[in-house]
Parts: sequence; structure tokens; C-alpha cells
Amino acid sequence: MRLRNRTKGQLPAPARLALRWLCFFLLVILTASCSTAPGWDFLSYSLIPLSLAVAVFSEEIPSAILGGLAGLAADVVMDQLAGFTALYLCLASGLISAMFRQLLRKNLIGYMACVVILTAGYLYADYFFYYGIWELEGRLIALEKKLLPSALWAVATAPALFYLIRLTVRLTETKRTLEIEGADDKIDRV
Amino acid sequence: MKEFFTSKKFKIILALCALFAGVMLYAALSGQNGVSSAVGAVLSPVQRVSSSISSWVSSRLDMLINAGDYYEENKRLREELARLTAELADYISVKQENEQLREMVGLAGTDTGMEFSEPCTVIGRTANDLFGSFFIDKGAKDGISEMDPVVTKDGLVGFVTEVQYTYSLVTPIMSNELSIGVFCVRTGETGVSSGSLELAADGVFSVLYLPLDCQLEEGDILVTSGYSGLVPGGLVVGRITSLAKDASGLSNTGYAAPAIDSAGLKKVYVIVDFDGKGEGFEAQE
Repeated sequence: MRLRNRTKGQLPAPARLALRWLCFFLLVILTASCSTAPGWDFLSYSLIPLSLAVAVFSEEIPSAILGGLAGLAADVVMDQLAGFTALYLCLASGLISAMFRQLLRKNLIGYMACVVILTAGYLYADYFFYYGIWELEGRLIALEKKLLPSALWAVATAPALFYLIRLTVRLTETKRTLEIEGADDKIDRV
Repeated sequence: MKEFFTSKKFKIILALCALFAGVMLYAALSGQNGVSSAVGAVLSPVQRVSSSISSWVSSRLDMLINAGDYYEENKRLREELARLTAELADYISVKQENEQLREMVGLAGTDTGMEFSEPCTVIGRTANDLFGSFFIDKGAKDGISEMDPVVTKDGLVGFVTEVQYTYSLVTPIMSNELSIGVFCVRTGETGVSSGSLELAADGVFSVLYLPLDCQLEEGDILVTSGYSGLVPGGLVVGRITSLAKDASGLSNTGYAAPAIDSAGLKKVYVIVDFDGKGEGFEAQE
């Protein structure tokens, strides 16, 4: 029996990997851009579960890089200090990736627990640094009308993102096949 | 897992975090950020498409859902049109008299020498912003600079508060970051506009430092005074909705609705230059 890394007609492994990361990158761009469309600003926090879903199925360093880029995009669309969300998502994605590669199973429950904790953490940081410490009048209104709905939407759509990323990874995985060589008639069988 | 924290991978992740922290520090200290500019240049084309699609879908759904409201509003507007037509006759005669008086006194024209940018398309809105700030598709390469006023034919929208190479961020007049001198067209009383999150949620901004005996009424039109040197005078800012005595008891505070609803904007113009730009009180300070 001989193991082959791919069947004929499949893309080579580096091309599949490049395609996978291109899909992830385009998803980040699309989510960030759609969050600036009128009435769609609740999508702004969806970059968090998206980055974490990628981190669950990928290695640590690429996950951290994509997390950082997604964070930069989020900073631009939310008019926040560039690097604020990037720093948070870069570190979170890298650590989550390491946790799922070494400790946790790659299932929805573990992923959702991480999404809830990290989204809540980001919500607190966003509220504290942009509204709380300045003691802006009406800051609770901003929390109620903008920040909280975005966070809740991000958690609600996280399962869909998890399965979407899992599907993308499976479709771009290198498939392994077995080939059984023809029997040699001269060998005596006992 | 413990080995991970001493591994090379973790050190690389820390290096990446340090890089993003450096970007954040640079953005905070310099006020400009080439990284934001680059990211925005990538996002802008996609933002434009998603904004167009979203607007189209929203307008179709809005027509279906709110048909009854539009019928009632149409009826009300027809009645108001009839009333305004009657007032127009008075306005024309007053205008003619005004022109004659100007000739007599030898007043100069009111042309403030405004220079406008090319029409700017609204390509997206800042996510999670109660004030309704938005992005336009013109930036530094198109001659836009920070604190340029943004207008439509109906009046002042706000100011450009962030300029990147290919796009800019416009903050509406309701924002707590902006304050301009305004005065009432009818009574001539002056005040200073000011915004807050609480008022923005109700779609209004406040007009501070009105005199205790001010004659403002609901519906009075507010225009820019032009004294600050930041914006030409005479641009419509909003209409008074209510008045209240200030907490100090020394002045009145008015509440006004902006003339332009930034949520529905698709095209705006930026005033890149005008007579008296930079010559107001702020410039002297």
C-alpha cells in the first residue's frame, strides 16, 4: 500500500493553504466593510468571533497575524485608536490557537466559551477607555444602544462563523488517499 | 501549555503585540497614522459597494413597511406647501425692499468666496457611533484638510475631523467634539452649539449661553455666525425645538434639531477655502 498526499486534479498543498488564508482575509475585509453600511454597525464586534474561529483551526503565529489585521480593520471602521483592537485580537488569537492545539478539543462549546469571555472583555475595554474614563454624559445610552447590541450579535452569530471557518478548512485541506498496488502473482501466499 | 509560554512561537506573538502597541502609541502621539490610511484604502472600495447595496435594500423595505406613514406625511406636506406659497409672496416683496436698501447703504455682496471640493460620496458610517459620523471618499490627495466644513445645499452637516490620503471622517454638528457660534436669523441672538451622547440619542444638540430674556421660539432657524473663522457665516445649522433655563440660572439653553439628518446622506461637499478662513477668535488665540 502506498500513501499519496493528493489525488490527481487537486491543488498542491501550498496553493490550498494560500487559498484558505485568502478566504479568511477576504472574510475579514467583508465583515469590516459591511459594518460601515447604514444600519449594519452591529457587525463591528463580529470580527472578534471571526478571528477566534480562525485561531481554533490554525497555527498560533498566522492566527495572531490575522487577528492583528482584523483588529486594525475594526479600529478603522469604529474610529478608534489604531492598534487598540489589533493588540487585543493579536494576543487573544495567538493564545486561543495555542490552547486549542494543546489543551482543548476543537468543538463548539469550547469556542463559544472563549467567544463569550473575550467579547465581554473587549466590551468592557471599549466602554471603559472610550466612555468610562472620560465620564461622558449619556455613556450608558451608548452602551445600551450601540455597544451591547453589537456584542450580543457577535456572540449570537459566532456558531455560524465557527462552522463556516471549519468548512473552509475542510474544503482546503490536503486530502490523503490510499493506493493499493497490484498483487504480485509470483509471491506464494500461505 | 507551559512549554508554549517559553517557546519561540510565544515570543513571536509577543513581538507582534509589541508592534501593534507601537502603532497605537504612534497614532496617539502623532495624530496621523499611515497604517489607518493603508487599511482604509483597502476597505474603501468594499465599503462603497456594501453601502450601496444596503441603501437599496433599506429603501425598498422602507417603502413597503412605512407606506401608511408616507401617505400621512405627504398630506401634511401639501398643506404646509400651500401655507408657504402664501408666505412666498411676502418674502419676495421683503427681498426687493432689502435689495434696494443695500444699494442705498452701499453694502458689499454677501458672497463669502467659498471654494468647494468635488462632490464627496458617503461610503460608510462609523460603527457604534451615536453621533452618526461617516466616511467620505475624498482625502488629502483631493485637497481636504482637517476641520474643513462639510455642507449640502440644505446647510451645514459637520466638519472633517480626520483626513487620510484617500478618505476622510466627517463628524456631524451634534457631536460632543464640536462647538460653533450660531445665531438666530429672526431675532439675531447668538449662542454656542454643543452636543452630548444623551442629546444625540434624541437627535438634538444644545445651544448654550443664550440670554435670559431671549426671544427664541420653536422653529426658529439657526445659522453659523462665522466669527470663529472655522466656517463661513450664514450656513443653516438647525431649528430650535425647545428652550430651558440653564442649571446656573444665568442663561437659557436652547435645544435644536440639525438641519441635515446625517443618517440619510449620500453626497456632501467640503468647503476647502472661504473668505476669512482662520481669521476668527480661535485663530487669534
